[in-house]
Amino acid sequence: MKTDIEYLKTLELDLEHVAALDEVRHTKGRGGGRRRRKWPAWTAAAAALLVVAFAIGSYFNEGAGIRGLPAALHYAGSDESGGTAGEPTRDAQVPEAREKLLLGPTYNSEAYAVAASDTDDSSATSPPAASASPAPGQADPIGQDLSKIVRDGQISLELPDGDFGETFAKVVNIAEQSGGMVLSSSTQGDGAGGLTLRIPASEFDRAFLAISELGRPLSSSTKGQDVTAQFIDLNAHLKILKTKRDFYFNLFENATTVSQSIQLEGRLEDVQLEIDKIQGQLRFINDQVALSTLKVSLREKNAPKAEDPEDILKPSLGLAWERSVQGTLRVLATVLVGLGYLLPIAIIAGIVLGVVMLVRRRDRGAS
Amino acid sequence: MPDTLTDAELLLASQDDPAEFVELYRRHAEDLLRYFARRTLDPEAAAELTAETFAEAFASRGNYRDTGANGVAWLYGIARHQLGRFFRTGRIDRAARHRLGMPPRELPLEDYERIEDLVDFAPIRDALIQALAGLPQDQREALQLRVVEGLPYPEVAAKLTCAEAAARQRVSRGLRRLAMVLQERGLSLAEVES
Repeated sequence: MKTDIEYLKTLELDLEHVAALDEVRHTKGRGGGRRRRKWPAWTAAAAALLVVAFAIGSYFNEGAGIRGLPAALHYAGSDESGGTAGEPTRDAQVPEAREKLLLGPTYNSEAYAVAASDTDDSSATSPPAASASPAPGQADPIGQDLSKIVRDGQISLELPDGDFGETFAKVVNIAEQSGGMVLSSSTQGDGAGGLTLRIPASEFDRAFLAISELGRPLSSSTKGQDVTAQFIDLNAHLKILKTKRDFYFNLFENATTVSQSIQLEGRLEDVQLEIDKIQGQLRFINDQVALSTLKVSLREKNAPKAEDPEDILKPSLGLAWERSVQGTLRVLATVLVGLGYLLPIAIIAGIVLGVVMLVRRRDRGAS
Repeated sequence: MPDTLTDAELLLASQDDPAEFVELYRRHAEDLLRYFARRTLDPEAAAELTAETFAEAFASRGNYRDTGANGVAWLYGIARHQLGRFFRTGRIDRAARHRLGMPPRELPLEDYERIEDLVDFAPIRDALIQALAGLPQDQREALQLRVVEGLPYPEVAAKLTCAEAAARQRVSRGLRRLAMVLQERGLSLAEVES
């Protein structure tokens, strides 16, 4: 370089040294310019590998991946009632479902029909209506079978196209014939709808079975909640309060002064309020025990799926997050399965490539 | 062969053959040094900026794409970026040289005058004299002797009663500060010349 500035000459030597080092790296395939061009190729290769792995994983992994994803997402979100949601039961499985329904929970429905109608203040022969008012002074049912089970259920049926109206009427009929009633109902167009039924506990199983035969069950569940302990506690409390009431009543009748009368009247009022409250709770329990709640959902096979108003008004972020996490995990699992299948192929390919490179190097050395 | 290639072709060739870049350096090193010297008025700063610019250009030559413009325009683009950073922060980056493993180099004493010779102070002498008033006294005196009166460094050192290296340092710092002042005022040697 033609310059009299020493600094520039030194800088030239430094750059020549750096260039020489880069040339060595370049020759080994790790040069600066070429390295940069390799990056996009490597990235594309990695992306292609993941896609291939996902495709292979989807093919071999039933129930997950592309083929299983829509169904899996449906299962994740469809059954929120904690029931036995799963694959749509095929026709061959209906007899099995029927048997399951009959065996069901190990409750003796007749025995509990007696217990359900045995409220604190109603006779055993009265119909299991929720509105029976307590008769004062009646003995507490201590010593009798006090098991109180609240039974609920839900069933979702797929119907042949055009059958919705007729099936809807049949469900209403079944409810009435069981001694129950339709608490609420809704329809979505002409092909879908739901009903909430209140059916006497003694007729619950029969009604459930009858309704399940009206279409193809997509999902069903029953559950029982034991409220016996709560019932016993409330009865015990009620007994104490009644004793107190009688005590205050006797005092009131024997009161000699106005102030005594007024004081005792106030206490009687308070105790009576407590008694009324507990009797209300007992009536509610008896009502729930006596009448089971059955939710029926009907949908024709090709009816359009409408948005649940609840979902529109109160979209569940928690559920959406759950679905998102499940989706992510399923995709990762699918890719992992695919990579597992690819691994032996990669090992074999690596061995073959290594042998080929060795042979080439030997040939080059010989030449 | 390298002499027949254009700057753009040299840059492209250097992506596969790094040695071609040194030819580009030989062509433009002194011009670039003059470019920095006229704008910073400081030989040390000019030398360091030249080194950092070429280091940065070498490290990023893989990104160069021939868009039809002269290859050296790409080089001067890097130079302007370095200069702008210098005026903003008041210091010179060493990142590119560090990345390439280039050792730090001191500016030899004899190079100070040679680099100053690249800068023709005559056109801005008057502006410099005015700007001198804002400098610290030791730098003002050094510049007055060296730039205004044009005395050689040994005489400057004798009059300032300090070592020659110290005199060079005061002149260098004074020039750097002057360059900042001129920059702030929207003046540079290149603009004054035009």
